[in-house]
Amino acid sequence: MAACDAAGIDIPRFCYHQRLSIAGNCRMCLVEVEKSPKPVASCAMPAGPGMKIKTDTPLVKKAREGVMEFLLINHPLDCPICDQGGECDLQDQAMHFGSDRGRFTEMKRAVDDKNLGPLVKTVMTRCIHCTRCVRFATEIAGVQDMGITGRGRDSEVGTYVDKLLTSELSGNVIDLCPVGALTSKPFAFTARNWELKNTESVDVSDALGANIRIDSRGAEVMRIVPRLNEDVNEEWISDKARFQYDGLKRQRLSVPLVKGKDGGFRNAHWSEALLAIQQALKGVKGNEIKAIAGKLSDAEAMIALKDLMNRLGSGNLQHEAGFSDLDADVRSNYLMNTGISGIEKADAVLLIGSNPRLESPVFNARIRKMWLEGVPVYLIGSQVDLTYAYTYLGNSPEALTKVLKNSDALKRLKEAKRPAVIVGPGVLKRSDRDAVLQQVHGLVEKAEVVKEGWNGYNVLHDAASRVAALDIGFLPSARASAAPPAKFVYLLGSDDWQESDIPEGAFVVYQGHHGDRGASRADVILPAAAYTEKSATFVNTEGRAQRTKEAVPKPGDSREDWQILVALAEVLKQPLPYKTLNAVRERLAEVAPHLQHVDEREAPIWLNGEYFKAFASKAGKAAASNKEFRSSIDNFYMTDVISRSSQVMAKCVQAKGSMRQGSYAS
Amino acid sequence: MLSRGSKRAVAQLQTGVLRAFSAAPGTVTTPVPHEKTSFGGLKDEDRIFTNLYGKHDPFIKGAMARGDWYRTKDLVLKGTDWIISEMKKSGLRGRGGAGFPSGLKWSFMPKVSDGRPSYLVVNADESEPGTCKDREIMRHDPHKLVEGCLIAGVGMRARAGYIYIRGEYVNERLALERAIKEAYAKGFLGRNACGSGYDFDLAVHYGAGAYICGEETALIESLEGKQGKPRLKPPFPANVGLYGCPTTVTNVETVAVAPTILRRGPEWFASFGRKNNHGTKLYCISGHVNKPCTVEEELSIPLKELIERHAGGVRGGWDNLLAIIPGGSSVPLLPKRICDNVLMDFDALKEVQSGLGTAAVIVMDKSTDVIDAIARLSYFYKHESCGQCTPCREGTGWLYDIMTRMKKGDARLEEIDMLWELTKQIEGHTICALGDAAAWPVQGLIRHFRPEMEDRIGRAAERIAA
Amino acid sequence: MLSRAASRLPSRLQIAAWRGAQCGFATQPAQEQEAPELPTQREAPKNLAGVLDESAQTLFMTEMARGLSLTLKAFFDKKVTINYPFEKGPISPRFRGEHALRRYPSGEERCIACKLCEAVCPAQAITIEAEEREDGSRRTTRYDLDMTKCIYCGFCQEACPVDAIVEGPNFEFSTESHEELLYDKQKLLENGDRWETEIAANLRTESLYR
Repeated sequence: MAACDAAGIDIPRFCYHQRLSIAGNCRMCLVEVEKSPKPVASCAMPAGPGMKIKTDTPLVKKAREGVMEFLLINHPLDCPICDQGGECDLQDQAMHFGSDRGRFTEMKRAVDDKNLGPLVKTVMTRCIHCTRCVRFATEIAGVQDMGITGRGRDSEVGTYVDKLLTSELSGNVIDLCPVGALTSKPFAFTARNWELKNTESVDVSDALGANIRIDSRGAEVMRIVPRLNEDVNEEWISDKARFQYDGLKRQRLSVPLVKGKDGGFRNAHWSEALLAIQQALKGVKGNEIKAIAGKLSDAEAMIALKDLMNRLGSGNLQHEAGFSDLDADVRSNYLMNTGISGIEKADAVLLIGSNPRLESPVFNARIRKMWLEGVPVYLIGSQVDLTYAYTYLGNSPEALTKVLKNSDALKRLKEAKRPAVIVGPGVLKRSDRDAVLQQVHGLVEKAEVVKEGWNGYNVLHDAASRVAALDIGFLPSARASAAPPAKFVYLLGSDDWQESDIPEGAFVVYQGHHGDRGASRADVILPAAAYTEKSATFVNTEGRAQRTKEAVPKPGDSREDWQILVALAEVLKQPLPYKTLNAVRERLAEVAPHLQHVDEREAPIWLNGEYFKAFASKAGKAAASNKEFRSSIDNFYMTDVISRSSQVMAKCVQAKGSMRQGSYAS
Repeated sequence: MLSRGSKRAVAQLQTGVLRAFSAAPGTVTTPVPHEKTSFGGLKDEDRIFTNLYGKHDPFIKGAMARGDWYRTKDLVLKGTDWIISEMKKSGLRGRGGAGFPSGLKWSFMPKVSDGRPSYLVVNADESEPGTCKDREIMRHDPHKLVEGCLIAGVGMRARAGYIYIRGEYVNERLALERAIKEAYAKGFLGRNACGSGYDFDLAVHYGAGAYICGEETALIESLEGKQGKPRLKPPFPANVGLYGCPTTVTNVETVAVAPTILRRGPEWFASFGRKNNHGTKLYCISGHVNKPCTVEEELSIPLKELIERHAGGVRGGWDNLLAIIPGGSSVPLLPKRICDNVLMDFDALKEVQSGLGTAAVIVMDKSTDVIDAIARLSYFYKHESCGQCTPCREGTGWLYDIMTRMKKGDARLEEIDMLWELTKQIEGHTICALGDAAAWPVQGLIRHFRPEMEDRIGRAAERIAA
Repeated sequence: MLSRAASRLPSRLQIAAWRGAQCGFATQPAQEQEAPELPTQREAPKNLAGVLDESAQTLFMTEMARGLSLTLKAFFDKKVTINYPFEKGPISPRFRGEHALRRYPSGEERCIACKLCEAVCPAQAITIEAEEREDGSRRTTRYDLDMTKCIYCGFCQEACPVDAIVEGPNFEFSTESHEELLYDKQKLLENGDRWETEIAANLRTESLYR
């Protein structure tokens, strides 16, 4: 079949999928092969030299028609109420290859629907038993939850025991299902695929930067589906990326708000809000101003904020949640140096303080793919189910020291041709980060993780904006540590700040799109656009700059982040030298040229041993504490303002909780 | 009479073996080629399964008295190539139904191992309706099978064999397990089997009674502990089989006759039956005959003679015959006019658009409702379809639905043609042969009993009209 | 009279020929020959009898009499005009009038929100929004039909898989304002309830041809 696809000949199929194992059970792809008396399933037939394959003979046509008839006899005629209608493989292929009339006069089969949780809706009567979902769950997602029970006409796809689908990638079965048996529950019945506007964009729910397509109708995002990008997400996206969109409609900030004397917010015009900020800044010294950028901030906003802060005389910039002083001089220090797809070339993997299943499920599927091919995986971190087996080495910096001294893992890594070390956000957020990193670097050197033509030192981030922030140097300047407590704090979509970041009595401006923790602390709220409503640059964990596109209009009076900052600069009489989006991007390119090369990944250079020595001296002698490694994410379904506002995500949390309590497990 | 005969057979067998060994390899005397024209009437001394009816001790003592395990070491020491060439010469065709030449099949196993072990898997999941030959072997002559496993194992360079036995065969399993234990105790199996220096282990695994697990790849899946669903071919089991290793799956009877063939010489075996259909065969005769039985007979015996001689004839005389299914439920039936002079072998039955299958002869006399009989078979296949591939999963059910209506005549005349087309849509489009097996009986019915079906539809229409 | 007047005009063909000549294209003589015989100007009578005859015809207005006799005949014929608001002409069962949303006899609305009518509507007069109802069935939350956009092509009823949206026999739904012609789901369902008998009868008669 692959040979025919390469030759540009279209062969109908249901069960065959490029990324799944071959099942050969739909029999739709039958072709005639010379010297074979029977038609053969092309998906399972390896093409040989000199093989003559015929795909348009009467025999093939008859076979396809026959198979199609069999598929349709027990498929309900409910296309009008089926959400797959209009983008259904069975519909399309029945039109192409099917007969024009039915001969089936018996009773059709009916199957009980299964409860797969709050994301996937099932109408199992429509199932054609292609087993794509079963194979996806077992092979890619790594949860042995789905399977076929029963025999013959009574076989059913389902979870063996009445159980929810526990994967973070479960939404992908919706795309895989060639019929309407598995459809999206939140999207159910709300729109037809032909009335949706497709916008190709990028996901911001984690640092992977999965490529997505936003399907919108009018001013509403109706659904999000993955886009193919072999280098980033293949064709999968996580459930959060797919289903958090309903959070974009709730808790939105649509007008500027100013806190009145009575402590309550009142609606204001933009000019009022900006003047209020100007008033608040009067008499505040430059080094008393502080800015914190959030998880979802785009590069354009951050550069504008940085420029504005610098103009106001402040270098006190911070990317939220304890990342403040990571050394960002060398890109390879904070990037995934193998690249996301490059990790598959590795032949031994060590995870340190990371739970990739929660931090980036799609990336985790890649590690699982490698594990299936026999690559050993070692873990220093919390012992959780990662969907694949690993050698557990402990969960503390002590374990790291032990590994470093002498161990099988070290030996194995050293023997490996292309070893990879993955450092999770759990490490980077520790207070004793530098000491731990020093050990990690020691390990990297000892195990020869970096060698000619291979750099296996990887950092896995957990927020979409982090790499861009590091790239453009959204970091505290050298003098920032000496700055007095801030009297004015500018929150750029930041909600996960620590209490110590905002001193009591400071004037707080919150610029963002959701009313969350940041907004409730703010004195002035400036409504901004979310990632579906603007064209903005995000850099993923491997350093690939990607751009979102505007899919739906901004709600109410909200504006794009950089526009707000430019306007504020005007009001503050510190005008920024750019007025258009392109000008902002030119400024970005001055600071970090690679941000202009959208969709490309520039392999960072690695500074060898010398750099470590410098690093070591900088880190000082501070010893690592023996605190356990923790993933930065406790709750996969709620990590940022959008997912926290999403009802669907809330249902997921609830379902997961109830399952843990055992109400679904029995 | 039979016991006397079997004694003689043992004597004959031993002389045969002696002859086989006395003839130095390479100086095989070519037998005078003579075309046999009449078949049947297998003499008792030529029977392979001399304890088919359990008149004697089935276990080690009795078996050794009947000539089993006699100089097996020498057979093993002759080596793989000799065994395969002898098997090829004997013209033995697989007794499981498809009739693939056994020697050729065994020779597909890799000559040089690439590090993976080879396995022999014996298919004792005998579930074909009408078939009861393997159970007789396992029940009454298990040592024939155990010894055959060793020989076949050597022939395939396999170090281990598995016998996948049908779950319902409890007594057979116990007998077989006892026989294997005895063989181990005697040193015939295990390390240094029979003192030949060859290591061979044998294990019995019992299934849960699914018909589909008689399909070789489904059997392998089941043996691995998965759902018994057929695999795609290629790769064939000889390349990637049990646990991903080269495997050959063979029928019980094929394996069990191998030692005797090697002892008595392939020429002896080839002297039975027509060209390309050599040897003796167990026939299971059931249905409307006076004495249903399982009997060993020469291949190419005329069907009529087989029934008259061994099964005491059709109930109510030959003229009371309606139809015969000659090879188990999955082959098309034959009406009386064909049964009158058809020969029971692979090629002759193929010529009349049926098949020898497992040689399970199911006789139906004129009291039979032939449409109902086939409808029942359709139910069987509907029930046993594994549901993996579309044509079989959906098709068998549909066939059954239509057949149930046909049984009552509640159908339209055009539906007979539709039924025919449906069987053609199933046949050859599935992963395994169960789809074909489900389609063929119905095809046979339409081919030979179409007037009956039309008549019934007509009468039902009249009844409704009245 | 008329024929005479016509005969005075140059024939169309002649004009074409003339134009052709003007433009420098000679028209084919063969075409001219094939042209049908055109009525030529009737010659004025030359003899006395002829002159008298014609004068008498003119004097007694025979042509007028003939015309009036036709009027008189029609006067006594059966009338074709109907007294419209009180009388109505026959309507084909395929007549495409005002839209209606039908219900099943159980009272359950038929529309399943498949949106095929919305998709097929060439005037984009239909707007549907749907969601899952509490019992899990697919229903519309909004079914708006802009009757001022509608071109009454009937595609919507052709597309409907459950015969929910139909164009009924009613053609008298004029309103005084534009807004009143923007039908919502409730209005359409009311229409359906009101016209169900007729609509069902029409669909039954047409069922053979669909």
